[in-house]
Amino acid sequence: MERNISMQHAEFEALMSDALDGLLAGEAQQRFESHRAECRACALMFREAEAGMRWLATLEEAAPPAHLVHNIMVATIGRPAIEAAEIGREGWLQRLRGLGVQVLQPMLQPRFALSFAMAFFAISAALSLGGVRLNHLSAAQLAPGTLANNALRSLHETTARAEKYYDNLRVVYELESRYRELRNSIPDANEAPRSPQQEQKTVPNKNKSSSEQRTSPERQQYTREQRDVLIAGLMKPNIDFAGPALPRMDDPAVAERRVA
Amino acid sequence: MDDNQAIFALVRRCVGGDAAAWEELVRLHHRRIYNVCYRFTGSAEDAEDLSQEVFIRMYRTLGTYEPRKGAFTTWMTTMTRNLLVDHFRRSRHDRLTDSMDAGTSPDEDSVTLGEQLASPQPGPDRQVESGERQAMVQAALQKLSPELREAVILRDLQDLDYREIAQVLRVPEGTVKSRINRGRTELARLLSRTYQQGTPGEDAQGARK
Ligand SMILES: [Zn+2]
Repeated sequence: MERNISMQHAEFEALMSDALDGLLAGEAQQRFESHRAECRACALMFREAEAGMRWLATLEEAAPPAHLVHNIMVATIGRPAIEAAEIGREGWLQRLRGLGVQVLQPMLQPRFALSFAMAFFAISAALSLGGVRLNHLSAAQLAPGTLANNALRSLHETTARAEKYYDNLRVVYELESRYRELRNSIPDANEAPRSPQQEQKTVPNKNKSSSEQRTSPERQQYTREQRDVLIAGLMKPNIDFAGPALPRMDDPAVAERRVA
Repeated sequence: MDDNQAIFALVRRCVGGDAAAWEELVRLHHRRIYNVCYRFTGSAEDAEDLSQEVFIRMYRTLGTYEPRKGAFTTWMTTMTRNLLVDHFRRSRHDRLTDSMDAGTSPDEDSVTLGEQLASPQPGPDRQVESGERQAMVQAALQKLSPELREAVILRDLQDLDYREIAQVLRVPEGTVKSRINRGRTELARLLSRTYQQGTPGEDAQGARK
């Protein structure tokens, strides 16, 4: 049979992926190699396929955003995963520290942190409702001492108020946008303090000139991540983990299995 | 196979309403799904949204998974791929869908690879040194037709075998191999053209298809 002697282009191409996987052996491999030696087009195709494979091998696994599992849990069973909420709260505390609010350190002790943070964000939201934008406040008003005083003075009422509304998504969004404002205003007013965490997160932009105008995409992503982490942190105390049963899966097959 | 049995045990617990089991399943597989979506779309944001969609769909249909029909990974990848196809059809790349089989010449798009590289997509490629090279390969991957792109992603990035890929894409194994060959060669050509290194693009057309 002539097929045994010389290989056709089509057969070469059909065997190429196996050859690249190192799966060819014996006679098939010999015929493959001899066609490669004789046929320029196929030799080139082989070189290119091999190069393409090597290029693809340089792609590392991309890291999913930290809040992805949390969001999936919320989207499916309607409540955050327990672990995700724990991680989220810790990360969020560290980030608040990272914002350069050094004087607030004592208040960021884990046992005070949550009520302080609730008051802090509630004040910020209240100011906003009263028409005061956070980034319009002067440095003096934002001085940690003043802030702390305000926080202490209105701790009880604001905390109570905030708690009452925490299940209201609108308020969560409000807090979220205040938080974003705060975060954006701090590096602008005071360029110096940047935490190592921030440096790490902010991947240097490869093409400054084209993207300096708008908010950098990395930064948007970072903020988005923080938003979810923040929400996770805020929601946690109100989630009753022993609480409502899982929503039933609505698939009929599921229901059947459950009965069985 | 043992692996798949363990997964199936987990799946059954999920179906029975076990939240911890569901979380475990999500944690086990979210990286894989996210990566398929990220490499296919080239957008971290889309990948995030799509991964969520995949898990929402998976949560609803978990009871229909049957191990005798194939590995859980294959089932899950099929679901992911179907969503990606839907997403692709919805997205602005519509025009390419119809001409998928015509084979795409890298020059027929108005946006060149160079332009694409000049406006890097935000991505989770963390390491700065390899980050640039990875963005370059990702941009080239984006230039492949979706048929070739999904084939090389499943083979070279997700390490599925040809039989599994054939199952996911619902095409014969021979077609899978041919798409992988074309995907790899086209990618290499795009990258060598941009960097003027490697193989010349001479007379490769005659060898193809
Ligand atoms: Zn040939």
